[in-house]
Amino acid sequence: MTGPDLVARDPRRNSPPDADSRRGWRRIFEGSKGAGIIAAAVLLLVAFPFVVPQPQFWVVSIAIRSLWLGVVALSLIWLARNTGMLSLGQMTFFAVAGYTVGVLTTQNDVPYVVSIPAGILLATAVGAVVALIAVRTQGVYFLMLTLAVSQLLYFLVLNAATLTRGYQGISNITRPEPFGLSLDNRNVFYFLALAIAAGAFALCWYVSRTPFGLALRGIRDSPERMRALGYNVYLYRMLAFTFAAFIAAVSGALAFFYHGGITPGAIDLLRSIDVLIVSVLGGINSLWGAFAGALGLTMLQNFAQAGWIPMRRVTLTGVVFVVVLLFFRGGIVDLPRQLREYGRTGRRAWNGWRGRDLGGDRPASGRDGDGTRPERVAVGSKLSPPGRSGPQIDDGTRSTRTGER
Amino acid sequence: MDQILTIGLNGLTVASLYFLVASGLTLIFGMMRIVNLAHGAFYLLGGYVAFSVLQGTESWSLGLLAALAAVGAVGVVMHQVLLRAIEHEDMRVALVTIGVSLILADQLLVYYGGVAHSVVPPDFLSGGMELGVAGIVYPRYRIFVLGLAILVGIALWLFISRTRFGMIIRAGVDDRDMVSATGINVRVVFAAVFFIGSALAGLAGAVGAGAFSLAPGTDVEYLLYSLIVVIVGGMGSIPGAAIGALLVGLVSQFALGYTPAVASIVTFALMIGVLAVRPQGLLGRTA
Repeated sequence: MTGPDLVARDPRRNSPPDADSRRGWRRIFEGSKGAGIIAAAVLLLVAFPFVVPQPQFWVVSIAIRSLWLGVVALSLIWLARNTGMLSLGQMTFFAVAGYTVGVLTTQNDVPYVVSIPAGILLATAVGAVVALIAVRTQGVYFLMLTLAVSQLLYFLVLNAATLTRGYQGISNITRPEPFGLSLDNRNVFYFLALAIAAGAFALCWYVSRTPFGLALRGIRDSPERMRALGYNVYLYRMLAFTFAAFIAAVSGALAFFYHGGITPGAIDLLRSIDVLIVSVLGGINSLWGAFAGALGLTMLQNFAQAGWIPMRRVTLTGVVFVVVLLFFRGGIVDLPRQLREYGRTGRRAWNGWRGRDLGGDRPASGRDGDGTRPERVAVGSKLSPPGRSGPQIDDGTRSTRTGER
Repeated sequence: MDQILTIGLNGLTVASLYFLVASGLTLIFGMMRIVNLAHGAFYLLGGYVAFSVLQGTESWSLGLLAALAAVGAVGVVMHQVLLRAIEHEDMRVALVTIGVSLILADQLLVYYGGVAHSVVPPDFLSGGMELGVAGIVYPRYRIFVLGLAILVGIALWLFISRTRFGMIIRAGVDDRDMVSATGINVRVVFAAVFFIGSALAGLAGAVGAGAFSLAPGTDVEYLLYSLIVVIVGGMGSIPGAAIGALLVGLVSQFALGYTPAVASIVTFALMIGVLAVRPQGLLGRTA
């Protein structure tokens, strides 16, 4: 077993990083010329809080939440992309950072200037300790181990009630006022979150392009070869895991002020899964996917909460997750291409079906007689790059057929 | 002394339940390389099915059987409908089972609400039992749970080491492709293994709901501990699950008894300690 196949071997990722990122851009903006679009995007993000109706809902419930959720997902995606390790434990570091800031400031009167860096530092250190063990495992073992760690922390928080106040959690904090700007103001908070998200994104993007990042990807693709070349594979994996823990910790500190505190409910299994869902929904092959997925999930959950979608929030989350995993492997970032692909398969099936109706019993290509899933589908989707072969599940075929009847 | 014994017995009780849950998880993994993260939700489902059947028919044993059959069937359906097409991608399969677990647990919450339920054991299993050691009286039902786990463990061991079907399973763990090349219908074997593995979670839920209560969140707890059990014992090994369950059950209960605040750190330390020495788990084989 070499790494998770969820993070598929994509030939693009073996090409120089620059080409990689440019194509990522193009996939989002449909081939338009760069600078103007970036400027428009920046303008949109800056103008956003001033132009939307119901700013309490759109800015606070949607935008800011998407930003900090996106940063946690960013840490997961960065780790998955560069090392092939899919972690379910990013909320561990998020929680350690949040709780450290909370405990230090509310119970020991440590000023935020000290407690915030201390929280992030401690969470990063916890990340390094977990990494000691976790990076020795791979694939589903790694997934299980990180999941177990995050849940153990959850139960620790519940049981160590003298420090963490158990179920109640830490609340009623006073938000800091850097440079005289109060974070109670939603626009100030929005721009702070935007700046932090942009900074985290830039850092992840940059680290991927350093020799360190390139070595990580070498290790992901062939640890034996990199070991033979003299790289300390274990150390590199550990550092990568610790870096991802740091990014998650930054988000933890940010979310602490967003919620005005932290409770065990904010770090339970559902939240860990939320982070995973965000990454898969947005597209785990692209760093942008973190924010696309965070926005998507936040909107879905808020709409379900508000009753605009007649389904329970958690059930809806689960259903969307399963559908994306089975049918939209590239996530939101890759959605246009996948829809085109489905359209093509659908048309081909449609033509095949019509051909068969008119021309007798000639079996149409690309369709399998009965409902049996051919082995080719599963094997093909594993081996061939998602960038080119597209969704390999023959569902487009089937839906067309049933629609026809 | 009394306290040590009582905590030890409690540890054995939870170890029994952990073993029942984890043996299903490890059986499925050993055969198919599928990590079923919906296993905790299956535990919860089994408990609730037993609860409903008990309410309807007043028969406790019927409740147990119903939980066994229903959860086994749900497992098979999940495998056939959602997992078969992607079963070569172990990671994606694990993630899909997380999705199933979310949906299942949430729907159970809708149906049964957030109140804790429990499956009341029949008269001949309720009440206390003199152990004859240090005058301890221990709930008879918990002794029954321990006995059941031992019985299931022996049955599983006999089934796997002494029957033809068990032989196929063992061969399948070693080399799945070769087994199918010898003309055995691996599909049927897979479905059967998924049924047995899921049914074990259902049985554990039905039995566990008599010793402890059922509530939303129970699924996460049992998923977590069965994961730790198989990580410690070694993925795919049923004796490993037994040893792992014993270790995790005893360590977690003693930690809860003596240092409740940091109990999960002690469990975590156990896991780290084992993995530091044997990354593949106590009885696991290297992947």
